[in-house]
Amino acid sequence: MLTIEHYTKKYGDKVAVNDLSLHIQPGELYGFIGHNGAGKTTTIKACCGILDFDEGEIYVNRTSIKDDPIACKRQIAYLPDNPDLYDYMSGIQYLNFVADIFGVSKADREERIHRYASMFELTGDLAQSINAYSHGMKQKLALISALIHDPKLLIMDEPFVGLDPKASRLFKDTMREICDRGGAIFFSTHVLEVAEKLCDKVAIIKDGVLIKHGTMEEVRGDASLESVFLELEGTRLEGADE
Amino acid sequence: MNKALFRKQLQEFLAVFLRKNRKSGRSSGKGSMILYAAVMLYALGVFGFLFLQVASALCPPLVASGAGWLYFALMGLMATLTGIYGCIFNVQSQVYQAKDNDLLLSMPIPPGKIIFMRLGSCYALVLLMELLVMIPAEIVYVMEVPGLPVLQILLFILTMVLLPLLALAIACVLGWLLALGSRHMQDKNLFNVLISVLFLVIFFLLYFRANTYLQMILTNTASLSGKVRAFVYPLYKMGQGLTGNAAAFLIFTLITLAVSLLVYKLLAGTFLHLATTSGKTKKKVYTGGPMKTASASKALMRKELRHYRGSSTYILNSSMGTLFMIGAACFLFIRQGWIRAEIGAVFEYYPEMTVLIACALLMFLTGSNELTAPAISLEGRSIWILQSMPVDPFKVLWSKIKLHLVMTLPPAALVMTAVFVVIRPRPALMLLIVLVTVLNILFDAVFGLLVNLRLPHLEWNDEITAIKQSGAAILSLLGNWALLFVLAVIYAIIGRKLGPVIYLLLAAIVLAAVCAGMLVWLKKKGAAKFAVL
Repeated sequence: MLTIEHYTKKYGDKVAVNDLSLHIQPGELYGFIGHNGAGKTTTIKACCGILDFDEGEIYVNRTSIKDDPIACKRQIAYLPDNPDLYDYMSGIQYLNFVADIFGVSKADREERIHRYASMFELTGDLAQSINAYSHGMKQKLALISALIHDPKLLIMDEPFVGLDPKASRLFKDTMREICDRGGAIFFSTHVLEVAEKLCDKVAIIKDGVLIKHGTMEEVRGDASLESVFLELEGTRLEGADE
Repeated sequence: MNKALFRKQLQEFLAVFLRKNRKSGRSSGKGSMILYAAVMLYALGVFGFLFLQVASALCPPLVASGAGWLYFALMGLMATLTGIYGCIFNVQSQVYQAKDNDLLLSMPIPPGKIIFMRLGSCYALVLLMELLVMIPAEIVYVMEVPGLPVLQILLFILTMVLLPLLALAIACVLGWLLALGSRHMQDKNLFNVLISVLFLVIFFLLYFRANTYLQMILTNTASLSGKVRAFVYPLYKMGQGLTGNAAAFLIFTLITLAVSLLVYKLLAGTFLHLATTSGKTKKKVYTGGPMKTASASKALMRKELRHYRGSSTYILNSSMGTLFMIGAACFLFIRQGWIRAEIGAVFEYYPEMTVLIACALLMFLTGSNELTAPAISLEGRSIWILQSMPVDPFKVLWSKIKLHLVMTLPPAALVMTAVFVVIRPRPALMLLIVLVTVLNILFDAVFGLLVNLRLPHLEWNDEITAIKQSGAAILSLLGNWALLFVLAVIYAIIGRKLGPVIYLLLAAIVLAAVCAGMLVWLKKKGAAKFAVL
């Protein structure tokens, strides 16, 4: 579904991500973890075609993001870490705008908006201007807009930030459903417990270099994901697993 | 704390000029900074020259009649009104609507300090506008009254520091009232637009009757002196101070400082409430209902229209041309007989010139609309939405061009009709004028977008920074003027030999070719640049 081959991104002389290769299969929920500034967002943005890169290739369903970005974007839903939406639109106007761009039929959009807005308890607020939304409401609206075109691949940067526990739980269930239907999800998170419980596979990036990846069992072995991550990061905390 | 706040505000102010690439973090080069400086100097020079002319008309007779103080009071009044007009909406957007208000208020910073820091950049703007009026005023005065004592120069410098405080205080009170009033409005943008248009209409009525007023001033100096003394007492004292009365200057200083302090206290006391509450507007509840689908192009166009309709700052600063066009059309319709007679007399021996001047006027008026110049910057931090969508970036750019066309063509058609009613050109010339004007509108739209694509400013805290203080907007406007200038020079060289039909036809062909070239660039390079901005 998503293939990253020898991806390298430089900002001037600084190498942000170096020779990163990953393969995300249909049905997989893939977590991407690393410290702040490790290169997670840089990688995620390149996968969505909104950041140019220097070397390597990224394919969405065997289509190169460089050669045919529009075909790739048609299959993707992207959610950034801090979704700044159009403040001058109401929630429903924004959802209709996204649905129009993705060519979602009238019946499908009505059904999906109803389903997801009810799920996130946002239906009553859809007529309100986004300007009046709280951070959590904006995050919920961004999630609904990401799901409205039934994407095959969901790429998200810290999707749980700002969500209340109930919405967070419901969204985790939705993520699993998408993967069970044959979709794939690639997302970054700092919440290692979430990654550990939710993900089929995980990749750890440090200073722009992929240092470990594979199934959850392969990566953590008998230890917890947190201890493996901290060990790979070269950090030892008191009381951490030996 | 003060230093940190000052540095933050300065960084925000300079961010427009010392642009950094959002993703690479690299600053803009020296070349573009020099270009900015040159453009700013040019714009300031033009306005300074206009005020120099006003000062030259007022100073000699008033000084000769012993009313030098009245000269300074009147120029001070002009400076104060210009300062108020220039910053009233900045006060509203930078003080009450800044996106980082919540962040700053969450820190252990007294609201008064936040206000003080925010007003600092407004003060800089007012100072700049007042200097545009007062420096020419002082130059004319120095030339009129040779051998001025050093004290006068010193008092002038001190006045330049103090006078903006007075304008800023009035602008703050008006901005505060606007913020207070608009909090309870369902449609805040409409309210802001109406208030601004009212300001503009008053400004232009005064401007167009400037000559009449100048004559009135010069013939009624005695009664005007009394009115200035009664209604703008601080400026009366300022005028006296600038003609050498130190005691009067002291009174002016005390009044200015007292008014400024009072207003500052008022703003600081109410800032927290005004900046953090949204007023009592009725909450809209979504009740469902049938949904309509639209094509991607239509959805993009609707988005642009919503953005335009939703931002009074965008409407007011980018659609001045629409107001000018409607005003010009009304003027032409109402005074058509008089204008026709005047034109007939002036161009008696060269009637073809009328057509060319009409065409230039139409190009100038339509060129005052600048909707595309800030269009990309206005996407701000939400640019990721369009970038991550499966839509050709050129379609996105084209929707911004279409917005410019949709908002400019109807008033352009109105003013063109008015022009044709007045000058009654031959059908061939009429057709060519329409063609050149429409192509010029397209040129403005495409050129503005192209400049903004080269100079985007996406990291702003209030929209006014992206619209008003943007190099793209200034360069785009200058591009329109440069085009007019080039066409005029070409006409002066070969135009008269060719005649208006051939000349306008050639101008249309050149304009069409330039527009096509720019559109090709936008489609190939511009779209790719937009996708990864």
